Amino acid sequence: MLVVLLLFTACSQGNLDMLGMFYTKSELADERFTQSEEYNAIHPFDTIHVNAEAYRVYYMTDVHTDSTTINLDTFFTHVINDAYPAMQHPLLGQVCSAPFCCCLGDIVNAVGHYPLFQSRVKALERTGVRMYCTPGNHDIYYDQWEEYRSYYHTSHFCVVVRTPAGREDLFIFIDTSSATLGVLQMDWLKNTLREAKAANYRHIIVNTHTHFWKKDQSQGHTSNLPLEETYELAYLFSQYGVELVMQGHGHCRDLQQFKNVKYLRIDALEDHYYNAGYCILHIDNPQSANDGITWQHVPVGPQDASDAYRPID
Amino acid sequence: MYYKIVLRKFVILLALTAAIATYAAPPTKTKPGNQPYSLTLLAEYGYNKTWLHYGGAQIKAFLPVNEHVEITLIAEGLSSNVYSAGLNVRPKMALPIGELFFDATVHYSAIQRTRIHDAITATSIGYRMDYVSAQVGCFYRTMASYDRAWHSEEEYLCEPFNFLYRIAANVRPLCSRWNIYMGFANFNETQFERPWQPLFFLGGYYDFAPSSNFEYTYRAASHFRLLFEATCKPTGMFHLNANFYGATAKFGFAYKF
Repeated sequence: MLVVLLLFTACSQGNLDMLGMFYTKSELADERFTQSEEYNAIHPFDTIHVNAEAYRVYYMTDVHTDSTTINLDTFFTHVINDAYPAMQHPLLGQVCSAPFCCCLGDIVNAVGHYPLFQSRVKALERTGVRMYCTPGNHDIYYDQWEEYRSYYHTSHFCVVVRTPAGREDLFIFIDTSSATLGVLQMDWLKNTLREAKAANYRHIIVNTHTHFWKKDQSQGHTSNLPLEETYELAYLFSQYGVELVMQGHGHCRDLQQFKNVKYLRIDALEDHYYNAGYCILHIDNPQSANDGITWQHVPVGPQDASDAYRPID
Repeated sequence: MYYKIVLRKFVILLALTAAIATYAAPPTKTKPGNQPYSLTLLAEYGYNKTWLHYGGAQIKAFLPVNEHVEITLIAEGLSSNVYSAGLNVRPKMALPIGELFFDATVHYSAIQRTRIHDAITATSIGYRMDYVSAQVGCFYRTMASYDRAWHSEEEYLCEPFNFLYRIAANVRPLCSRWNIYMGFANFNETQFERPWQPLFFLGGYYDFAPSSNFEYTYRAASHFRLLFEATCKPTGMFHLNANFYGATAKFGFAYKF
């Protein structure tokens, strides 16, 4: 075991915090929650007004920014182009502009790469498009929580999207970068979902870095939440009407359905990754067969463009 | 922070014990003769970040068919509203040094608190010596909602071909009257985790000594074995961002017929 650890460490060129397998230098899940709550207490969650009942949300995950940002630049270019109706995205046509985009964690590969990623985010934000992040394990280990927090302030939060007809969609972002929510965040999530169900949102979408299921070997060596927590969350999502759980971490797209909740995992956006891509959620797209949520995987790597516009219902 | 220090020391101790025992111990026969039937009762206390504090009871029947086949039945109930039962069949074969065994397990958990069925079928192969044992195999998990209608794929998930492993080290030979063991695995008698969710365990047992000089009551006591096992379950180890998640402690006795 020790030999395997040493080999991994030697091969990882400082990108993998192997000691973190046994001892993490970063704050634990409950500590991160408490620090984030201090921010959330004085900063109300965002409410975004869109100009139509249907809109799009761009999702990326596992960017693993290191020394290049080729795929990230492509992603941001597509988002910015789509955000301005006059500059239509060639694949999408015009439904509604994309009001914001999301990153499901693993923004950076290891220490020292946040500034490069942030330089690209600033260019995006200058156009008025907001980006919301949930932390991944690579963003936290090597004691990087403080740096993550300096840019994104909080590990868990909600975003409400309000349509012209007054309907509201709720996006919940949770921190699973330690493969557990911890006690405090679990309580927060239960309360949030309870209130969300009472508020009768049109759609409730949960966003997480760590994925829930291991149905095949496509996720490689990436790990999940403990089973107790997996079952508890699956039950909560089912009870409180969560429609879709957006996941990263596995680097490979996947769709599972359990207890009437859909779990969609999206491709990594990492440079030099063969199947690199991102995902566009279409909320109530009138062009789709149903009025729910549909999604589209958009490849940016060297593979063939395919798998376009599969409905999830 | 304290548990991290304890965990780190535990892992170092485990590695050192296994290494020393493997290379320094003379080869001896692992377990002489047939094992007697036994019935084990265990009380359990546990804590994890999802269920918080809980208690439970476990009953286990060990039923060796002959010196080549062992059968174990186990049932457990937890105050966290989780109930499970399992059957384990273990054909085994004595080798000049140590013992080779095959293991077939079916295990079912009714996770009443979240209305989920969890069923496991596992097969593995293992080898045990006086001081160390290792077991590898795979298991197939089926998860289904209580509210599932027949053939409703929306309520049903399976996770095939999960890797299964267990490595343990004893401080004394297996046939000793008392022993302390420790190790790590991604499963135990009542739970099967994904491969990257290891459980670290430390346990021991003590057999009351049989003696012809004892009075009847003391000879009766010689049928008893005291048992203890503690398990620690960190999470996020393969996230390279380990956090404490849960721990259990079991204490009880076995009656050997």
